[in-house]
Amino acid sequence: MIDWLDFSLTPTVLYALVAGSALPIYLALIARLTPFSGRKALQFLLSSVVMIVLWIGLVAAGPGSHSAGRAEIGIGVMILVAESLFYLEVWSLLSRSYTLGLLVTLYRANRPLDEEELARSYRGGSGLSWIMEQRLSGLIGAGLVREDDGMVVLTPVRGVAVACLYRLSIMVLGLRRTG
Amino acid sequence: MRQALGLGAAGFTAYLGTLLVMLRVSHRTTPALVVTASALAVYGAMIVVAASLGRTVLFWPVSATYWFLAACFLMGFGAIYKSISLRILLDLLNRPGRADRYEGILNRYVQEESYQRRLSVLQEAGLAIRGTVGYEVTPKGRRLASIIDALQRLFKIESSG
Repeated sequence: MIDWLDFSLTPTVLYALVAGSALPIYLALIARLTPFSGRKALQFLLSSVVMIVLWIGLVAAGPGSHSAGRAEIGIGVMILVAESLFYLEVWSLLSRSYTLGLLVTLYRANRPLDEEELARSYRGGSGLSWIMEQRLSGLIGAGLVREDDGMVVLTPVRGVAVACLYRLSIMVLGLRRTG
Repeated sequence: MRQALGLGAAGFTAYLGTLLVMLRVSHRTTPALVVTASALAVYGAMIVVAASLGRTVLFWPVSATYWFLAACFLMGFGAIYKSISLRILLDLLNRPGRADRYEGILNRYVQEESYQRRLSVLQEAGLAIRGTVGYEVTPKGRRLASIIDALQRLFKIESSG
C-alpha cells in the first residue's frame, strides 16, 4: 500500500515546510526586540511576514530553485497558512487562555488560594475585571458594541449580525456550552 | 495534481461530517478533544483509503489541502467554542433592548458563569483540587503550569488571559 504514496518533495514545498516550521523562532526573536515589546498581535504578524519573505527568497534563489508552477506555489501557500494557524492556536492559548491563566496564577502563588483570592490575583493582580475591559475594548474597536451611559449596547447591524451568526454556528455544531 | 487537491478537499468534507455526528454523540469528551482527535483520525483514514485505491497518491499536496482546510476550520471552531467576546455578544442579543450594564455583564458572566466553569474544568482535568483552604495545583497541574510558564518566558508573554 505504501508503494502508492508519492512522498517526493519539490523545492517550493520543502522550503514552505522549513520556513513555516521555524515560525516560533522568528516569534521568540521578535518578542525580544524593544519596539515590539508587549504588542502581541504585531509580533505574530511580523513573524508571519518574515516567514513569507524567507519562503519567497528561498523559492527564488535557494538551492535547487526552479520556475515553480501555480499549483506548486498554491501548495506552498497552503502549507504556510496551515503552519501559521497551528502556531497561532498554540500561541493564543499561551497568551489569551483564561483557564490556563488561572492555572498559572495558582502555580505562581505556590499556596492554596480561595475563589476570591484567585480572582484578585489573576493575571499578576489585574483581577477578572481585566478580562472584561480587554474584551470590551476589542468589541468596541470592531464596531460590535458601543458604550452608552454605563450601558453596553449591541450595535444594530454588525453586532447583531455577528451575534446571530455565532448563535447559528453553535446550533449547527451542536455545542452545548461555549465561552 | 488536481486529483490530489480533490482528495484533500474530500477528506476535509468527511472530517466535517464526522465532526457533526461526533459532537452530538460524545457527551463525556470535551468538544476540543473531539475536533482535534477527529482531524487526526480522518486524516489517517483518508491516506489509508487513498493508498488502497491502487493509484499513485501525491502525499504532500493531499496533506497540504486537508490541513489547510482543517486549520482554517479549527481556528473558527476555537473562537466559537471558547471566545469570551462572542459569548458577551450572545448575552447582549438575549437581553431586553440588546443592552446591559457593564457591571451586570462582569458579575453575571465573567466573574460568575465563566469563572466557575473554568474552575470546574481545572478540577475535571485533574489540574487543580479544591481543599479546605482553597484551590491548589495537583502534581499534573504543576507539570503543565511549569511548561506554560517556560513557554511564556520564551515568547516574552508576561501573563495570559
